[in-house]
Amino acid sequence: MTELWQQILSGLGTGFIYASLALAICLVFQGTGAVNFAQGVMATASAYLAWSLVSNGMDFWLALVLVLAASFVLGALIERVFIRPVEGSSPLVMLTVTVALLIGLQAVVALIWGDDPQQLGSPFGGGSVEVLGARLTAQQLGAAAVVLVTLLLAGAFFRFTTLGLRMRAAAQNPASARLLSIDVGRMLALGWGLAATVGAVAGVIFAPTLGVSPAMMDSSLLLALAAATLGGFESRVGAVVGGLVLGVAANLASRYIPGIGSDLQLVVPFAVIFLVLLLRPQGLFGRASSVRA
Amino acid sequence: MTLLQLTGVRAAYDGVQALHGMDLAVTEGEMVALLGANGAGKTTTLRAVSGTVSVEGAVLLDGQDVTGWAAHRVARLGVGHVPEGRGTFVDLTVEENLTLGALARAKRLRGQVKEDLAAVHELFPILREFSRRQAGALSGGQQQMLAIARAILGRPRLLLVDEPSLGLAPMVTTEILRSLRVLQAEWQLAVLLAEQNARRALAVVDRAYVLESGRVVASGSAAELRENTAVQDAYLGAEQTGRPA
Repeated sequence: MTELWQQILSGLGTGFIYASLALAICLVFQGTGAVNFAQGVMATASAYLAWSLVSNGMDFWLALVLVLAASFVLGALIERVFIRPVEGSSPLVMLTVTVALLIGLQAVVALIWGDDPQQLGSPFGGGSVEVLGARLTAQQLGAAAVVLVTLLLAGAFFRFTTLGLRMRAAAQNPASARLLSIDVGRMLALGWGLAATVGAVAGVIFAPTLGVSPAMMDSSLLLALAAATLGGFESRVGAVVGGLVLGVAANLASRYIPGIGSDLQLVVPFAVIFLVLLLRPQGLFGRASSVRA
Repeated sequence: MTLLQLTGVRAAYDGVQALHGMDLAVTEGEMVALLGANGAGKTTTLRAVSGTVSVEGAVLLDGQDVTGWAAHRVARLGVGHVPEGRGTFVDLTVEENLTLGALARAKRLRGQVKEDLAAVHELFPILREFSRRQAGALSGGQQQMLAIARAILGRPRLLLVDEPSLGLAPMVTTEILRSLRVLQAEWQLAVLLAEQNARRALAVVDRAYVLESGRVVASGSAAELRENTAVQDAYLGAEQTGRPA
C-alpha cells in the first residue's frame, strides 16, 4: 500500500512536467491552430540557458527569472518570424513548420552547448520529506510546487485579467476580435511567449532530475502530446489534468506491468493517444464541435 | 460634418468583383440604410468600411484616409461592426462578450462603462438574465441582441449593422431598430444599416442608398424613397419577408 502511494506521488511529481508542456501546447494550439512539436526543445533551450547562468555563478532563482523573460521573448519571436508567414495555412503546413522548428532548434542547442549532458544542482537541496507515509525528495516536492503555482497563475491570468480575456477572444474568433479593436497578431505572439514561459518553468525546475541534454525533453514531449490529446487540445484545464493522469499512469505501468520497465514507459502515451482518438477524439474536456478538421 | 465618405470604392472576392465604384456618405449622428437584394453589395460595403475586405478607391473616416488599414486600427477610430452571422464568442459567457465590447471603447469613455451597461441591459433585459451563460447557448435572436449590445458598448461613432432582422421576429427587429434610434440621439451615434427588408428599414432611418450589383442606383431621404415608384416596384412592391432564419 505504501509502495503504491509512493509510486502515485512520484508519478504526480513528473506529471507536472507533462502538465506544463501540455498546457503550453494547448495555448499555442488554441491561438494558432498549430500543434507545436518544438515546445519541448524550446524548454530544453531554456534549461541550457539556466545551466549557463548558474554554472557562471548566478543564483538559481535569479537565473530562473531571467530565463523566463528570455523564453517569453524567444517564444514571441518564433511566432513572429516562423509562424506569422504561414498563419491560417492547413494543419499539414503548420505541422511541417513546427517539426522543422524542432529539428532546427535541437541543432542550435547542440551547436551552442554541445551534446554532453550537464548537471544542474537542485535549488531545494538534497533532503527528503515524508508525505503521508511516502518519502519524497525536496527537489520532487519543490519542483511540483513551483509548477503548480505557475499553472494556477496562468489560469488566473486567463480567467481574471482583461488581457487574458482578449487573448481568449482572439483565439476563439479572430475576425470578431479584430472588429473589437483587438490586435490579433499581437495576441498570438503573446500566446506563444506565454507558452514558452510555462514550458521554461518546467524545463528549468526539473532540470536537476532530468539532466540537461539536447534530448532531455523528448519523452516528456510525447507524454505532453498524449496529455493534451487526453484532456482535449481546446481545454487548458484538460491539458493539465491529462498531464497529471499520464504522469501517474506511466509511473504505475513501469512499476507494476511486467515487461514495461522505465525504457518502455513510452508505450503508455501511445496507448492513451490511440484509445482517446478511437473512443473520444475531442478529449475528456473538449467538446465535439471544437474538434478542428 | 461628414463622418464617413466612400469614393469609387471597389472590392473583389477571389477575383469576383463585388463593388464597382461605390460612392456614399454618412453624416455624424445620422442613420442610413443600405437597401438591395442578396448579392447587391451591402455586406461588402460594410466590410469595406471596417477594413475586413481589401478595397481600391478611398474610404475616409472623419476626414482621415483609412483605406487599407487593418481592421483593429479602424475599430480604434470608433467604428463598431455587427457582422453578418453575428460573430459572438460562443465559448465565452454573455458577460465576457459584453466586457470585450466595453474594452474596445476610447479611453476617455472608460469611466462610463457601468452606466452604459445598465442602459444596454435595459434595452435587452435577456442579456442580464443570461449573463453567466455561454453565448453559444443563446437562441439566434438572443445572439443577435448580444452582438448589437457588444458593438454599442464600444461606444462607436459609427455603427455598421449587417441584417439585424435575420433570425429575429419582425416585432423584435423593429424594437431593436427603435432602440438604436434612441441611442443614436443619446450617444451621438451614426448608424449604417444593411437591410434586405426595405419597408422596415425605411420606417426608422433618415436616408437610404439602394444598391444593385455593387453600385448605388438610387438614394434619398426615407420619405422620398418610400414615394419613389421605381424603388417601390423593385423593393417595396411585395412585402419582403427576407431569408428564412
